Amino acid sequence: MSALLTVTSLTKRFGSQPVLLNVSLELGSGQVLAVLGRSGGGKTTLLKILAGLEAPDDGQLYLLGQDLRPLPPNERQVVYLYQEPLLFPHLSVFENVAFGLRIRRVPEPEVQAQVTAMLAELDLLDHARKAPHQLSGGQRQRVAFGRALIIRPRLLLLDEPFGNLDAQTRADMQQLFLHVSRQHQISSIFVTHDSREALTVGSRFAYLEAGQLTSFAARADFVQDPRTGITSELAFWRSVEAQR
Amino acid sequence: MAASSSFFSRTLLPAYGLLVVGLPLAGLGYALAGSLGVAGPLAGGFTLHYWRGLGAQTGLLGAVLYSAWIALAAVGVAAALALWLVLGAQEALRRGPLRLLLHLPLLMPALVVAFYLFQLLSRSGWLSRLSYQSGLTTSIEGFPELVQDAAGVGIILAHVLLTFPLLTLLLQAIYEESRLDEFRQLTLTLGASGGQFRRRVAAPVLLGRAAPTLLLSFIATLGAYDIPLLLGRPYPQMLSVYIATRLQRFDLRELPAGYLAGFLVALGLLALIGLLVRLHRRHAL
Amino acid sequence: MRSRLLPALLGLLLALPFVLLGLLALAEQWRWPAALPPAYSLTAVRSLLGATDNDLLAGLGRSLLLAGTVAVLATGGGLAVARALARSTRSARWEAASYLPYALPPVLLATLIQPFIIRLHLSGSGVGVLLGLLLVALPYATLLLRSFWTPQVAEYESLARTLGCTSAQAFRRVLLPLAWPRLRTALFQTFLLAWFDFGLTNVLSVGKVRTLTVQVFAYVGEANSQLAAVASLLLLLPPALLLWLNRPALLRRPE
Repeated sequence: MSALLTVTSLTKRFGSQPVLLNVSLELGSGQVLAVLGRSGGGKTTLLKILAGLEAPDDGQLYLLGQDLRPLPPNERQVVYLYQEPLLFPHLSVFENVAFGLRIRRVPEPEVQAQVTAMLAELDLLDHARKAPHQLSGGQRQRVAFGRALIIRPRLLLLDEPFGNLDAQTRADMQQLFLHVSRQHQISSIFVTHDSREALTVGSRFAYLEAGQLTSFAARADFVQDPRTGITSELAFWRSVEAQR
Repeated sequence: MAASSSFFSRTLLPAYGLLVVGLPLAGLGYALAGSLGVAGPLAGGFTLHYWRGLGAQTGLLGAVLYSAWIALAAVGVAAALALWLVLGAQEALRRGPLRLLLHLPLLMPALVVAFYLFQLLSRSGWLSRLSYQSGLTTSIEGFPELVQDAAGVGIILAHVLLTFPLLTLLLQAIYEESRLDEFRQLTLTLGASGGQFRRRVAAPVLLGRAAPTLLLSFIATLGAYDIPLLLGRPYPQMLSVYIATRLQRFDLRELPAGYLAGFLVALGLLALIGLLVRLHRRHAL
Repeated sequence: MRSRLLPALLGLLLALPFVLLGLLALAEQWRWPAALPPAYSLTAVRSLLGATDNDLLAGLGRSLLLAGTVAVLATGGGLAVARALARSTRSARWEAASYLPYALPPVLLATLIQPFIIRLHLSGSGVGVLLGLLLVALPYATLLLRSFWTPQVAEYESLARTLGCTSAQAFRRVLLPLAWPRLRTALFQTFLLAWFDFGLTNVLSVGKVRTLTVQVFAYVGEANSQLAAVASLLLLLPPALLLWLNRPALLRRPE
């Protein structure tokens, strides 16, 4: 399998404070790398460097063999999704999804067809003419998804995208994410502080703490690493089970 | 992008600072230098002559006192009027037309208000004509001097006309924001009368929260120019008029004294504002 | 009863200026003690359209041009400065510094910077007046627009960039629409600031840049109350129009 994304020895400091130290990772096409880490561990900086919103101090970034560092964010075809859906308040749901196509000056009939198909897939067709503030939290996050997917990103970066949703909507969105990822063969890096979410969405796993990233060769290694806290959680539930 | 924007902010902020801080401070420095005889068209070298002569310059002191009187009277009357309206006419203020009317002074430049009041209140003005026609006065001199008068009644009236509607809107906004209506019902159930509520609860709350704006209006009125220029007398003058006329004289020998006055007034105002900011901060903590 | 009397009284008080100015603009030979003009004429109003005496019309044009330029430059500049300020590590200090030009009365400010305006050979010119007005209007707009540049707006911009926008496209298609309500307020208020100004303009231009307010003052000096009234009414016109169009925006104040 040839790597889609190769990151080698990435380092970033803010002043004298190191935020990322010698981070290396590889991601294959169609894979979802779930990165577990608490806030302040450098995960947002990692994603921003990949998106081109921050410049690294040192290290290499290659996407499909192309050096990413000289490319500005708009030429990378790498979309960054925030915890907030950040829908453009001055545009309707339809125009929010169409945004990336309009920027690329895609002809109108093509825009209509693609956006309609995307809205249908995300079950948003009835809301096409609505303003963002008329939608529920889950619907907004779906529009944000559609807006990103429609430009066929080479890589999707997700920064705690479901962090502000209630538990049920969050579970629904995780399933939707898995579904569209497979459907569109999307490769993504999914950052979360929730180990359960990481296990649900990920096909590859990593742990990021204090600027240092550990990649795991297999799911079992991820589960067994004490830093992920999964083993201790399992032990807790087993002890509850044993007491019954 | 990162490179270009940092270049942008690196050049933009210093340029902004140069305009907004540099230019006024340079002006202040130039005025100081001018008052010491080291800058200006007739600068003859360092001298403390004009600073020593300060004691004999009654004009500046007169202008300070006169401006303080006008500002105090204008803001005082405007605030009293606004308070009276907000406490006495809640019903009317909550409904449409009055609110809209109170916005009208926003349309009026100070100079136009001054011109209007001159046409209304001067001895040959409209009120004088009406009073003559109705037999209240029998000659043009029989009508009282309301503009260009010694006490500054015309100037005060013009400022009141401009300030009180905006203060009313401000106090009304505070009234609604602080939910004073609910407090009123509460104090009434506690056995207070309507008057007691207004004096002991509403007025202190409203004036307390409007204090920064009242002080700003006071300072703005201190520095007023357009209105006293049309409605004031050659003596006493308000500060801005006093300084502007000193510095616009054709007699260049008067310039250093004008610079001195400008420097002292600017310094005084800055000190006053600094003091108010400090007091406000301490109050807020 | 009282609730109806009060608006009527206040209405009279606040509408009277417009009535009296209207009468003065139309009055012919209106001498004391006549309560109403003996005759009316449109001479002064017509002089607006006349080919010979177009002083007023020129003043109107000058005022519109000056106030419009101040509004556009101050608002555009204010947006840019506010952004630089938001990103600065000393943002609070810059904000405090922005209040300095307000701390001084406009006329005092004008007399203080006058020597430099003369040195720059801008005395008596429109550019000199423009600079003076911007000295007050730019920090005003900056403070008004400061609260626009939140971290969330920066995130909106980054998102637009990753969706394929160049910085110029992100500015035009995302930031500008997001900022528009505030920009409108800033445009409106800085326009009025310049439109209403008399002292600063008069001092800096030594009376040579004859905007409408300067003309009102000059006509009053010539005891030509008819033309002064027409010029006054012209001064009230654009704000009245803008007030009507922009009432909600106007009521916002800088935070």
